[in-house]
Amino acid sequence: MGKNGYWGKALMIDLSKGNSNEFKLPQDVLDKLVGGRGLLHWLHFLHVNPEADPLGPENKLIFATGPLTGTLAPSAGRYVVGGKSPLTGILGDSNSGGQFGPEIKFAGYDAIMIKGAAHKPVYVKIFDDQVEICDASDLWGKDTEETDNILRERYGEDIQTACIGIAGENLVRFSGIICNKDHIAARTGMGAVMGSKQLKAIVIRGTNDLPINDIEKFMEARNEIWDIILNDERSGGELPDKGTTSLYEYHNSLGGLCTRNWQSGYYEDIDIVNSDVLKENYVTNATACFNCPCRCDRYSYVAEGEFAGTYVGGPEYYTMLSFGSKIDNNNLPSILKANQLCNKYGLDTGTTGGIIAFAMECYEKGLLTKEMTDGLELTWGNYEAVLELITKIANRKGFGNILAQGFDKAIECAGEESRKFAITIKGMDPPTLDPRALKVYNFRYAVASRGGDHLRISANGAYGLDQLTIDEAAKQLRFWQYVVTISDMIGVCKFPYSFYSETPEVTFKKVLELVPRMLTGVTGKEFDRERLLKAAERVDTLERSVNIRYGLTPADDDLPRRFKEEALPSGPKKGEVYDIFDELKEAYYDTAGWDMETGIPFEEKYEELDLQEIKDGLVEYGFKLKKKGEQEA
Amino acid sequence: MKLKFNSTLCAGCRTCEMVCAYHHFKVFNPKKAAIRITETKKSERKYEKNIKKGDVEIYRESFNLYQAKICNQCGKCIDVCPVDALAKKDGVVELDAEKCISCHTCVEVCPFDAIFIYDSEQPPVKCDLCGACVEECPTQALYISEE
Repeated sequence: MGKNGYWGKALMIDLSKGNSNEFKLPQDVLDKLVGGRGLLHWLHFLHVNPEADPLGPENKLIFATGPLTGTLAPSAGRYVVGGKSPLTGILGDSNSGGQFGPEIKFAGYDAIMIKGAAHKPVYVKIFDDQVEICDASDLWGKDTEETDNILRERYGEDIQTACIGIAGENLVRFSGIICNKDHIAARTGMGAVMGSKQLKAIVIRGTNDLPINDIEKFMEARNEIWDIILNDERSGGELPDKGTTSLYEYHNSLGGLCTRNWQSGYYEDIDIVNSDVLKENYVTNATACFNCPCRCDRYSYVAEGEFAGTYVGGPEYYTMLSFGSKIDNNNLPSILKANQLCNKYGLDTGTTGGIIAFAMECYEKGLLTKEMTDGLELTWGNYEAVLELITKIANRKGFGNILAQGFDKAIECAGEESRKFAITIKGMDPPTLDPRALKVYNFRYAVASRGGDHLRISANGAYGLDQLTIDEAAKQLRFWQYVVTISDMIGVCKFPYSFYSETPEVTFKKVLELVPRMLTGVTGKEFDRERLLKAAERVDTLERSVNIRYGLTPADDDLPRRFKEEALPSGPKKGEVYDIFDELKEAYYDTAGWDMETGIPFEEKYEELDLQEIKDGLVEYGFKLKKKGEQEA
Repeated sequence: MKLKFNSTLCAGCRTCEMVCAYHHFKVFNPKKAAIRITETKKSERKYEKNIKKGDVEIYRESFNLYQAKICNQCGKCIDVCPVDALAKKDGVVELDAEKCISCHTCVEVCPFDAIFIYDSEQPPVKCDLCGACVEECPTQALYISEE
């Protein structure tokens, strides 16, 4: 068969048996699901027993690329890693840039699946088709920066690594996988899954030419999209200049910057901490992922003061707010220190800040006391206590060990009354933008397949949906969800493609016109807007099905009560509560083709999307699918 | 003429590697590039102030986070080539792949580690100063100097 953008194979590494083999990926599956999240969760659905302990050998750790990963398409450096999440017990995945993803592709694989668990610490070395499982006893306990350095010293500069820090080794349920020292596949606890398999790192080097169908054809569309992205004020101007950090004050101006564990959407100290202060005083470099002109990564350095000498590849706006407004901390150098610690330990800055914010509110309300927190005074803004707590979480010491096990354990410790302060959806905390401040768009938290998450629908073009009727808004939200999902399927970054654009029209031009043309060049198959949108809907339906098998019901598609019952106390959206939930949920289910009673997509949906084998998988597992007609009758 | 690199401007995206391999081989494979971007070891990092692009200050300060392995057309490789496959033409040391016997002696003597082997049985890859990387570099960290 000719070159069509895929290797058509994945690498399976069995750590229990200590061996590896390649297996074929069916072409029709790649055609239908394209790759990335689609490929990942197809493997997830097929290979992970829904009853599996997320931290047991039965769970799988799956790395997947998309057909554009490793090409000259702008920002083609993404990979996605997933399995059953130890944080939420449902679908877990996380996406990362850096340089690791393309190397998987250059090594000759579309995906890598890790099964079983080693008996002692190991790392896996993949040099094209040469795969070796190596002793990692000298690496265990090392931080992510040291680990990367040691492996580069050992194998030379032309390798890439993905590793865990001590948080992953210690099975912290919100630990991630780090590549290139500061790029983390952070969310849903995949670092802990890797740690549970005693897999410290993957070292990879690939030397193959990618299997591109028509490289000239691809390059025509690629050059066009490269110029658009480079010359757009948002993707080519704001991203290099500020990275994502300007969202910090932007969200505040919308009245939705999560403050003091979502007690408010307006942060009073915005003049002390914002992206300008960061840029003026601490950012030294703008750095980039593989083949990306946007260079949105920050490199920051603290030259003087209490945290002098602190350096970090960051922060993202999400980290700024997790250790900033969310815990009422206006000391920016301490935020950079927290970021550095999390990167070295391999912790998700999001949930780490999120769960500490929860603990602080419990402390404020008297549900947690100094006696319960090892003497740490968890008062708002006490960054010294926060930094100590981060280290305790990573080491699973004292109160840190409670938080390391996620929100349920923390609620158990602080008492049932604390549940209302745990701002989570399906067990995971959402990031920043308060649903009360921007209502339709932030319904995304309620339906994201990996729990409280902002990246399943992440598009500035969708900020204005509150102006529409509920039915139209639901349709538009669904549509934007597909537009964003496409980036995750093809192996590029959603920031330059779906989020950062001067106008929605520019986003559509990129994602729905030029991406299909690039895909046609790479795969040799005719892609167009309709085919791609349908594939995205298919991926969404697949993910929904994975979660249905994990026992998810419509009740899980919810927003925390705080948003529905407590009005925003200050800021531009003062007085707002989330008052459109039930209505919007019904409209969203209707447009998605999901049954309101069971949450399962209607049978017609599986037929329409040609997902027979997924439907059969659900039926086999005892789920009854309904026809839309039956429901109406 | 020489290819030059400003390490404080480099963002580490490696587009230059990708473009180089595409330009010369019509493939996507950075191992076939005649340039490499690597991370600067922490001990070798320098903290510099007032980084300018032309007359405009773009960073108040910056680190040299990335290094480039690039050919400066010094010609040391010419002397060791047993089959005269390397020769200087208009200031550019060119490799004649037809003549090359893939002994890779030039790779060993290159003072800049800037000749690359992607296959032990194929000619190595060497910069021919085509300028494709300069054109695509999003930060203008690469440039051609007339010196």
